[in-house]
Amino acid sequence: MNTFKNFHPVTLACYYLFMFLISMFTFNPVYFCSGFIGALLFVSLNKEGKFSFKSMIGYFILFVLISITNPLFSHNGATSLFFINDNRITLEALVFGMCLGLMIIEVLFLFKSFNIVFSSEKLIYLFGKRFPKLGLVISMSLNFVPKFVKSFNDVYAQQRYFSRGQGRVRSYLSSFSVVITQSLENSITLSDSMKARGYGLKPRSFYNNFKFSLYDGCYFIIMSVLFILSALGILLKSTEITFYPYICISDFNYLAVISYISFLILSLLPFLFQVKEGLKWKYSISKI
Amino acid sequence: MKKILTLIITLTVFFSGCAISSVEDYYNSTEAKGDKAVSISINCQTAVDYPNSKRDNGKILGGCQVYVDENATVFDVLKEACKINKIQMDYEGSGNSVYVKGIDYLYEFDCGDLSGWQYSVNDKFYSVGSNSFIVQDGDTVRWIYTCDLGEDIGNHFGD
Repeated sequence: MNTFKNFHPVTLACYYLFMFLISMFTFNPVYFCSGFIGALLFVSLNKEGKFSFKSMIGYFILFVLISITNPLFSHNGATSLFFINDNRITLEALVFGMCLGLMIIEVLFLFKSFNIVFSSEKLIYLFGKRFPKLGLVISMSLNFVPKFVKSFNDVYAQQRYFSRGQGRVRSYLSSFSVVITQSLENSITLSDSMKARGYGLKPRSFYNNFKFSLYDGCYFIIMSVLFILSALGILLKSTEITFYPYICISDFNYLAVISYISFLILSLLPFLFQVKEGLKWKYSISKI
Repeated sequence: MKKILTLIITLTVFFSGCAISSVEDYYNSTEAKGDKAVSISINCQTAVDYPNSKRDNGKILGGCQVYVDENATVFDVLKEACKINKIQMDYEGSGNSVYVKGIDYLYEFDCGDLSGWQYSVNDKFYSVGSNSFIVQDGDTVRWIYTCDLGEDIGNHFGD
């Protein structure tokens, strides 16, 4: 089955670059919402995302915390809701906090889907030839935390089993030091091994043979058009939104609507592609 | 059970430190006022003259008489005047180190990197915080917005 992951790394990298660029240069909740929905659907479709409704509760708590924290510190805004210790809590600050929370969660989910799609092989392919060190650093740092957590859990289980009389804090500490030593040792072994296999040399080839096909080209063009349309709305300020002192959304215009819709399609693209291919797969089986 | 109890205790301690009041209650609450009469005005003409400014009225508060108690500072006068006239005001810090960030939705840095609020008492600028300067009976306090660290409102640096 063909999936979104099987696209050429350059196409995939451009997709995530577009998504991150738009999320960086706007503060419009419509963009955040559509980006969030797209990433959420894609993550929930993939097993690697480890998506569950329980994990969503954590994100929701994060969202609520950020939303509440902003009006406690920012007292700007024309609509006062109530006063705490002579400091006004305003509706505008609350809405601003909600947008901020939405943005953070959207970017977190974008990184989740980025992690699903980009294996270290693809990252090395992208950066390996021109920036071998940068590629290695990115791939290693993205891998570090999950790897660390996994080996920590293993070591901790072992420690708990072998030294039952020990306190919990003590076994935590000793397993932590074990994992640190292990990862330091691993990095030395890794660098030796990579050097021996000729990492960073020009004629080195890859296990996967990535080919930029016509399909990739088509999707790249579609992505670029959608990106340009949604970026135009930001550049020409037709999707601009100001929060203080009043929440002020720019008047209804067609460019804004086009930008919103094109960004929604752009963020839903991985999900739609996956669904389309899944349906194709199902249909072809039922024919047999 | 233990966790829930801890949560409840924390929330109670947190909320007992806060005095929550509705908007009407806040504006209608009358505190014991002193007998020192101080007149205060708030002006932001420099922000109106600033390029691409959205403001068209530089006079936020013109000549308002406020009665304050014995140890009232310039900041207390501003707070009282803003409460009476329902003007938005935002500050940070407490005690002697209070910094007024914005008055009437006009904030520091809104008109360039050198902009912000400054005060003068009897047309003289002082280099102390607004909550350290104790006003006298009959003083005139002016809060003025500057776009150039005081140069454009007559508070020359080093004077």
